[in-house]
Amino acid sequence: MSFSLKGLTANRSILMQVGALIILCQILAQVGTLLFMSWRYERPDLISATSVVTVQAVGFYDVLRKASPAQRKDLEAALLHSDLGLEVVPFDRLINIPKSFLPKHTMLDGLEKARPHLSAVTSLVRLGPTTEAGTVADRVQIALALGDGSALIFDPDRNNNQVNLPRFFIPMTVTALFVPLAVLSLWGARMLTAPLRRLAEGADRFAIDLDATPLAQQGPAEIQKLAHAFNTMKSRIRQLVDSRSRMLAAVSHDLRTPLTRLRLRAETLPDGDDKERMLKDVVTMDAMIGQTLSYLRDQASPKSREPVDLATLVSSICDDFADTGHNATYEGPRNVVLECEPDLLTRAVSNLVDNALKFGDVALVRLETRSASEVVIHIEDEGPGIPDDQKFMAFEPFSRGDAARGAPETEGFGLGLAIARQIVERHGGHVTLHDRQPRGLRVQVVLPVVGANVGTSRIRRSDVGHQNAKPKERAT
Amino acid sequence: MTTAQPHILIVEDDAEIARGTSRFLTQTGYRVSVAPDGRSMDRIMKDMRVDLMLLDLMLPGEDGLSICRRLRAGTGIPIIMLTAMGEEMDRVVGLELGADDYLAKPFSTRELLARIRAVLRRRGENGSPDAGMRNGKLSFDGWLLDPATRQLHNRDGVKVVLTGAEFDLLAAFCERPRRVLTRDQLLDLTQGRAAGPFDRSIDTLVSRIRQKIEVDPKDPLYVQTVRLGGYMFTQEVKSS
Ligand SMILES: Nc1ncnc2c1ncn2[C@@H]1O[C@H](COP(=O)(O)OP(=O)(O)OP(=O)(O)O)[C@@H](O)[C@H]1O
Ligand SMILES: [Mg+2]
Repeated sequence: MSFSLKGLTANRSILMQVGALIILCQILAQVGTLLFMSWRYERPDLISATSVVTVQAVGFYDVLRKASPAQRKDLEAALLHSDLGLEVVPFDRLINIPKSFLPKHTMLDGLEKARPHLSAVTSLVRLGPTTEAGTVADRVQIALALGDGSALIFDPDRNNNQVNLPRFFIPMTVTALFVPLAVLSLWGARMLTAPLRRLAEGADRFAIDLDATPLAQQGPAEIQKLAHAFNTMKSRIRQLVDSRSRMLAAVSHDLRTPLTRLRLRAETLPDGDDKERMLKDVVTMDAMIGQTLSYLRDQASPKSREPVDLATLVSSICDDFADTGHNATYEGPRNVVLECEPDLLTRAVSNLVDNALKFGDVALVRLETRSASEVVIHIEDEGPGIPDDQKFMAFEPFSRGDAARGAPETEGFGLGLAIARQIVERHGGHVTLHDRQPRGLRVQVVLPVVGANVGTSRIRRSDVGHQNAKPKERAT
Repeated sequence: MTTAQPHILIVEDDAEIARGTSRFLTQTGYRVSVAPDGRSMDRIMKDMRVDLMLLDLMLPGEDGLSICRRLRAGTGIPIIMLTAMGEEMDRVVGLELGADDYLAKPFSTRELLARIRAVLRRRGENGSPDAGMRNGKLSFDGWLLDPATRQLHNRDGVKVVLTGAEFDLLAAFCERPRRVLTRDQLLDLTQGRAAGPFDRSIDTLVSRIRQKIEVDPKDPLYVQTVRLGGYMFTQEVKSS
């Protein structure tokens, strides 16, 4: 039960849940009432023996029995003009039927029980007007024999018959109760959840911009408290971010200043192995500082996206590596426009290409537009790959696999993959590691395309422009 | 340009870095002065003509960015920023404030020398330093090339990424549009950055640029091959 309830409430807004709850309660209440009413309707003995009609009928019966003939005449006339539904009829207009044939014979039992002195209670069918088909039974009524060849008849269902319970009850409650209540409860739930929604929107703005205006502390007490907590949290994050960027700047400066000295000093040394090695260490240390700083910094930096030709971004990375003597190749379309942060994406892809070259000697980079909403970058190498049980760990910051430890050319902090994942996820994408056949690792970066129509517009529009421009330019 | 050796002013608070850099540049043949902060920089500039400044970003007192802004407003002295931040943001900020180039610490002396030469040559070539193309954006056929931030945007405002060498070559083309440029000339114009052992030939760079900016790289419109001559950039270039 609790499981299915959880399933029901998961991912649905409070508004819908509260609204649904109120409407459900209403439906249950209405059905309950309806059931109760129709149960009573099915048990007329309970009402009829004590109903107003019956009481009136019994009262008149007593009066008529005791009245003088003159008084009776007047009474009968008065009855005719009243709308009490009582009538004195000669017996020959009535047909006696056994109680057990009556659909509502229980009513008679009830009446007899309630009024033991009414010995002459009979159930009768009153004959309707005679038609061509013969005389038809009009309707079942109850006759109280007056002992003079006539009877006082009455219709025990008179009041009830005026109200056709289910047929009238349902549309009435639906229109008069259900619809307004449903509208009201939805509106009420909306009002109740509005502050919560505002709060969520405000918190959303924080996620993008820590300088966003603080949340208004209004609405229900709980919400006010929550807003206050959010504001406090935001200013603390702000402080943390500020102090961290100050620290990063200081660390970066303080580490790189001695490194610069070291480098200048090393460069004055006579050429040789020592000098080479020292200079290489300086470069490595600088790269490590850069990696650490960018890992720490990218997390907090504000997002600033712009449309970028991803194909040129990726191929430039490959060319840059190729130009420094590495075996890096690009394969893919010439233009793919993506809304992104180019500097960060460059860093992410560079890290992956760097790994491929470092651990697998080659980097085969492919770019692929999988659909209108997704681009994929594959970075493949021909190295040892990463065993399945280590793939997950490889993404952890400062984690380095067996392949990396010990090998002198592979100094690093183990941040490359962590940074790449951080950046790709910041773009709403994901990085996964796969085995490549026959050997090597294939790193797959999937990036969602935001601003869907950007992807193709460049080529189309440029085409138009060039077709116009070309003959003119050629002529000059 | 004077016949005398160019005078370089190093504004750097770390004494050893200043000394090391200064020694290296002196050996290379430049005249060098050193200032540890903004104030002594001003004093030196009052007395001497300075051809190029190496400006550290983090200085005691007035910091490098504000000095850069101040100098840009007053004079046209070429500035190369030195910073320990090594972050794209700083580079862009520095270049937008008017620095001519940017070098991340720890820099190699080879790289430093290449940058100094490139900036001096660019300035010498353009004559009046303020009219330098460095600060103006160039546009051709709807494309926008910003030498300061080293960015290229296509007709739709989409950023197109070039490697350093590709950018230098395209910038060289844009600064000399509709002229036939030989491979040697182009090599000369673009060797400002340190030339590495794996440097690509001009032909390779041209074909890469075509892949990135031409509609049909096999039938190029912007960078055309001139038989027996070299290459020509066919578009009209406006600077803004
Ligand atoms: N292409 C690959 N082939 C084989 N192993 C890899 C590959 N890429 C990463 N690894 C393994 O995953 C580990 C983590 O990679 P990561 O890039 O995070 O760190 P690193 O390369 O060792 O150091 P850094 O990138 O910080 O210089 C590596 O140490 C290596 O063991
Ligand atoms: Mg790595």
